[in-house]
Amino acid sequence: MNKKILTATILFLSLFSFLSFQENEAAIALEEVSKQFSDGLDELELAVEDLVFAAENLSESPAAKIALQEAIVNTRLSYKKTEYLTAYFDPYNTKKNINGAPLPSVEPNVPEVVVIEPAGLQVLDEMIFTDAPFAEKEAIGALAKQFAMDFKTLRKYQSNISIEHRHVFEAMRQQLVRIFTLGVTGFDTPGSVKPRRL
Amino acid sequence: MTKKFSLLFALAVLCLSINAQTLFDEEISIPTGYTPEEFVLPPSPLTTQVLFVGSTDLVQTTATYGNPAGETVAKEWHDFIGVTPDQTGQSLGWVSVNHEMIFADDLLGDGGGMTTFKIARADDGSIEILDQTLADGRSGKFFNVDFVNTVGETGMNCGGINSIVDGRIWTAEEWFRRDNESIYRDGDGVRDTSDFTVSSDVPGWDGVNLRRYENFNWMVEIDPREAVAIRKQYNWGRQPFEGGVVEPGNQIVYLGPDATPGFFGMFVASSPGDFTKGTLFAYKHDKPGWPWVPIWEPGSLLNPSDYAVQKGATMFNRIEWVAINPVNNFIYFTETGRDNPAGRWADENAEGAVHHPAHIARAAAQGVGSPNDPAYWDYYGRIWEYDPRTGATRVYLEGGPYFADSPAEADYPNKHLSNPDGLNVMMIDGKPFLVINEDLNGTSNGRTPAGISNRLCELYLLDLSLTNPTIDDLIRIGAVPKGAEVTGAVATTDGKSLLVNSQHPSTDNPFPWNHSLTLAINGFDQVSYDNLSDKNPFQELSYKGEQSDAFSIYPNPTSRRVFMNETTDVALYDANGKRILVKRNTNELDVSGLSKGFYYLQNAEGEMLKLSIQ
Repeated sequence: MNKKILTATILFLSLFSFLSFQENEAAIALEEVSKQFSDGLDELELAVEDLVFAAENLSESPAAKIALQEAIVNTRLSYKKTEYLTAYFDPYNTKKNINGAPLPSVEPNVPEVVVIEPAGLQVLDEMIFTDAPFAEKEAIGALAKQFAMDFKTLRKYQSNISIEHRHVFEAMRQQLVRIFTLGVTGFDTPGSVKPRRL
Repeated sequence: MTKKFSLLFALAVLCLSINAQTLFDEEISIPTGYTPEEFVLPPSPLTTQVLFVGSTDLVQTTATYGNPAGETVAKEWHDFIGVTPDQTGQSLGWVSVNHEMIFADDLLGDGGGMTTFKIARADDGSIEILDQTLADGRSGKFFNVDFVNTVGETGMNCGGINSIVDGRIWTAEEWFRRDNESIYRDGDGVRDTSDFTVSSDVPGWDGVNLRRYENFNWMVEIDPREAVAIRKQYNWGRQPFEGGVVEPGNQIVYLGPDATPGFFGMFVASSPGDFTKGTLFAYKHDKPGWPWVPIWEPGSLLNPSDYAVQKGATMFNRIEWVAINPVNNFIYFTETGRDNPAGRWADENAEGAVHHPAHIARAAAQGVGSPNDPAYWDYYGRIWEYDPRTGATRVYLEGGPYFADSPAEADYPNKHLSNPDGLNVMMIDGKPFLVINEDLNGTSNGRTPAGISNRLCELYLLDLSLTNPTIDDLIRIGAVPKGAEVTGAVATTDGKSLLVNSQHPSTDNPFPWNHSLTLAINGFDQVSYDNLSDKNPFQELSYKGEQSDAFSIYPNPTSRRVFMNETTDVALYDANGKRILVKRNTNELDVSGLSKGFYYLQNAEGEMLKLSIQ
């Protein structure tokens, strides 16, 4: 065999094995992201169960109030681990049911004005972080249960999506914006951390 | 060397095929001696032509609000399209386009509106817009329909009626108004909110004094030839009208009001062709015998749906357009759906209105007690069929498909019907087809793929000879630009063109697609019944027997889609080997946006095909 061809072959082979290594690395990374997402949803489900429990057991005692406040904080923190993908996969339902602004909105694309009352983590945060959340026990309980149901539906669908590299890149880019506009400023924690200017 | 190169190439391909999600090279070069199999996509028989652009084309106006007749740019938000044939045969006839908005304008008139123009078939098969001079002295190509000086302003001109008998046109005023504030819109809408005195040939209505908003939400007949309104159809009731049809006897009009609950309506004229006298009915599926109940009572027409509730009429979840199959006179109408309708019709149900068995069955299938349960969902809507001989209604095509879990890759649906809205019947190759326009209510629950936030609205054909069609029978013939709703689709009288509106697109689109516009898809005379399939032929049994394991494709010239014999990741490269597109887990590729030339298509296994687009 011609020496030149041999060198070229070795060069090519090493290049391809390098490419192949890169390829594997990308695949492993994606697998890891999928697993993280799935684990995150599991964790969130447990947190939501705690939240519903704490809401149902809310009493006038300071301990019950603290337990509920801890539960909503835990739920939100768990949600934050998965938010970049859940909000990316289904921005509509995430906004409507999971972490939309605690303000009434208008039902989209219908031939009349229909006001939808807010639901999700933000409205719960606002109601729970008051001096006396017990006064609104019934509403908090109903919202927590509704949140549990809406999250269940979302989880059922999203845990089966086969995640692609593109999804991860785009979702992360969007989440960067969310971290600063909603998180750092306190905009999506209207009760526990009041919105503030940076 | 060539041999060795091929070997290396094969090796590389092997390496690349290890993982499920292929990383395609940004550029490829085809090794010498490697000749991929070539597939040809013949030119489409269909071409697209833009006819009428909002905020751009100039329309001729009449003397309005003390301003002299003149011209100004057209309003936007094009919706319904009417086609009125020219009985003399000298032209194709008159086109009427709705503007679904409430907007103040000194020349066009406040509220919504309509524009009409006259068209002819040019020698090259395209559509020509003719110059006209109207009886009132206006001359030009586009004419604003004068509502202000005839029947009073209109608003939210949404759907309408295009009579199959003689091309008479009615425009529908949707979005129900309950007070003057909602039409005034802080001075941006209808600025004159004084009471309105009706001048009408509808018996009992001349001289009636209405609050201004009560003169909205009627079906309004216009004369497309002279671009003037004729009458508001006060005797058809004040409803959030979207669509309707006139049956061939020219005596019955079926009406579709867009509301939850919406009551499928019927107006029966006392004599054919004269719609100023007659009776209004609402559909009641469980009424023995003829399933219609009259909902006319003196003074009831300002809100006939209250009477429909009292009479126990059947409730639908937002009826939109109504269409008729000219072959057998069956009526079709779209029920566009509303995600969670419970709160909108539970009270009416308690007061006497009834649910259709189809909704009750859907509720049961979802494991909820009834359509009044807050958990009852109706994400996608459906298309109904009404048999005028028996009065029976049935779901002709259910929207969807719905998945509680994200489906496995192999089960991804190729088509998804969400929130059908505009509806018409078009004859192609002598056979009737439904023309279905989507208007997505949202992006959730599979209406758009995960991670896609644009409500892409698609235009479908459906062969009406099918008794029980499925989603897979839909033939996708178009989609509108980002942010837009596709609507109005109607065939020209010669059957060669389909006129379509692209409504409220995103302003990010390049001109003219950043405006609402009317376009024509020309060349339907070149389309035959047999080649109008949009299914993946590899999924057909006859094809399966012949197919080998090798990567293969079928390019469909009419739908401009390339179907593949496997579900895989694919990359498309241009003639220079530059990667232009990657799509994952797919067995079809929309190539309608690609220019003519050679392309290379590579699958996850690295197999490559050459695609020649003509």
